[in-house]
Amino acid sequence: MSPLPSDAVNAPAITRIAYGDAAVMLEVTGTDMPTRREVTRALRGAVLANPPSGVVDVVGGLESVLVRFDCAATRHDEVGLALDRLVRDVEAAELDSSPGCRFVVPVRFGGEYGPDLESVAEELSMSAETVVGIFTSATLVVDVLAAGIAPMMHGTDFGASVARCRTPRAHVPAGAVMVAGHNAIIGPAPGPSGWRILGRTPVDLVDIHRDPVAHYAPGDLFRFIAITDDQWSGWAGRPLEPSETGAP
Amino acid sequence: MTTRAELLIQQPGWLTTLQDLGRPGAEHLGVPVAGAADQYSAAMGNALVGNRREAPSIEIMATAFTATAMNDMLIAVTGAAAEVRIDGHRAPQWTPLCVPAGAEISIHNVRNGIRIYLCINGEIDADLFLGSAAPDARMGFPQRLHAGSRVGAHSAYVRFTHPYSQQPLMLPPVRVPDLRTACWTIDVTDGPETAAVPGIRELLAGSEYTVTDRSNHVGLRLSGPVLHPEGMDELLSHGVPIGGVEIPHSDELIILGRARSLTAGYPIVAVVTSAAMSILGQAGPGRRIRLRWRTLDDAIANYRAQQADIARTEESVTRLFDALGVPRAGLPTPARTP
Repeated sequence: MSPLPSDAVNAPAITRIAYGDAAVMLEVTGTDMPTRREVTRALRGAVLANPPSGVVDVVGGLESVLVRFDCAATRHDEVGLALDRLVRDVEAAELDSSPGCRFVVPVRFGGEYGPDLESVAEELSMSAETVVGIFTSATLVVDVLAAGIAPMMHGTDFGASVARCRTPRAHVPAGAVMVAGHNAIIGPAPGPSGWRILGRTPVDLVDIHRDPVAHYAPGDLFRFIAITDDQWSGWAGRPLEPSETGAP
Repeated sequence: MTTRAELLIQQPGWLTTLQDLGRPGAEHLGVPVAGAADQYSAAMGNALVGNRREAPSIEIMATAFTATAMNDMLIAVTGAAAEVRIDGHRAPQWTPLCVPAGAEISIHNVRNGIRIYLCINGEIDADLFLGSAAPDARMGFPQRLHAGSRVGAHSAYVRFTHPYSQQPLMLPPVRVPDLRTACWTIDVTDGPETAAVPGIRELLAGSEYTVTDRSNHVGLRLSGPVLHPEGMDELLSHGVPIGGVEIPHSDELIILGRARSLTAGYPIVAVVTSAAMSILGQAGPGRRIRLRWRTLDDAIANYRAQQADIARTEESVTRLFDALGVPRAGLPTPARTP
């Protein structure tokens, strides 16, 4: 029996195109955003677990997976055949709905810690308190790890997309908690960023001298709690570890 | 027997770091592969001293550098053209050099490029982050060398003496990139958004671009004519290839380097070939370049030829060192024949 037309419209589609002489891009389209991201995470996991011969790196995107290979060892069509098999497996498999680890992140919102809180509130036509209230009520899902092992996640629940900075900042301090679009990110290390800064966390997300360097991975769930200036020093320098109970 | 060959840095110049070919396998963590911008020179430098290509090297940025060899050592200096001296005597690049204990190694007058690679027989001992010595400043792993820094290598090298000349002539075959031209030609292939920007192929092929001083390991910024796509939606954060040629909102080009991160929003209108990225790794501010379109097949063939050049040098060095009794890293010292 052929699938109903509505199923065909809603089914995720994975396309593959060349990205230069040493990479191919897998893009996930169709269906709804949470499903696309879940499929993307499954695809990323499948390529990492069974990398085709010659593959040197797998770069997760929000709804894409870039696969870099050594073009002295293999080429697009060879890698492509192996990837097509993984894509078919991912498309055929039930999505893994088991929730990931839970993390609770203390954040000092606004003021010098969150220089964009007021302007984000204005853009969303709500008070800064409401922005913080919505942000701390949400459970966000980590989609990818971005520059500096930054957890990038979706589920901000603002009901509208948040614009990026008109001019990206050259230096954002470590621990910045930022939003853009319907996504949020925490920058574990200082660096440039075009995301809007709501606040800052005193906990350490990453330790390059530890194995693993970070405890979180795509699929994990993040929740944020507001802290005061007085509570900052109590959290400062503590490693971010999974919370069994949902308490920080 | 393994001994330690140690180099004492006297004058590190503007920026000298430990380096290697990068940390493949970490990009899924959000840690870029990074590594030597001129991969060919770094790999060839290690090949010339009998090390693995992936072994650490010392990367010296475009300034005067001096160091003292605390022990006898075998080194090679590759990358940009420079005046290399050992105890004041001019020494060639792109070949193994015997350095006696106490000698000063100096590198001056760097030209036609900005990065020099110094490799030592016996692999350089370096701190590793996720398996690699490559700097990652963002993650707090700068790998910077200062005056007084000591760089050690586990070398079994024993001073090589030659009956007639101080510097034995061992000239393994090596292809040296010619970077003397005023304007470099950099090969590119189509990017995912090339077709979304009508006219960009012709514009990129017909124009000259200049590297600006706002360039680094993350990306080179080039001034020159550009075209902006019309009505392109903000793209979702996605992985970008090394060598991706992006058009940002301003009137310039960005060519993504090995320390790039996820990008959103900028169309990728071309991708610099893997072979040409090593040449671009030598491009400093003011460098003029032209882009030349190639097919993926040509690009892959060029990269394979470049890798074959390194393999040829490795094979030749292996035969030469075995015949001379010079040890290679990780291998037992061959018996010297009387």
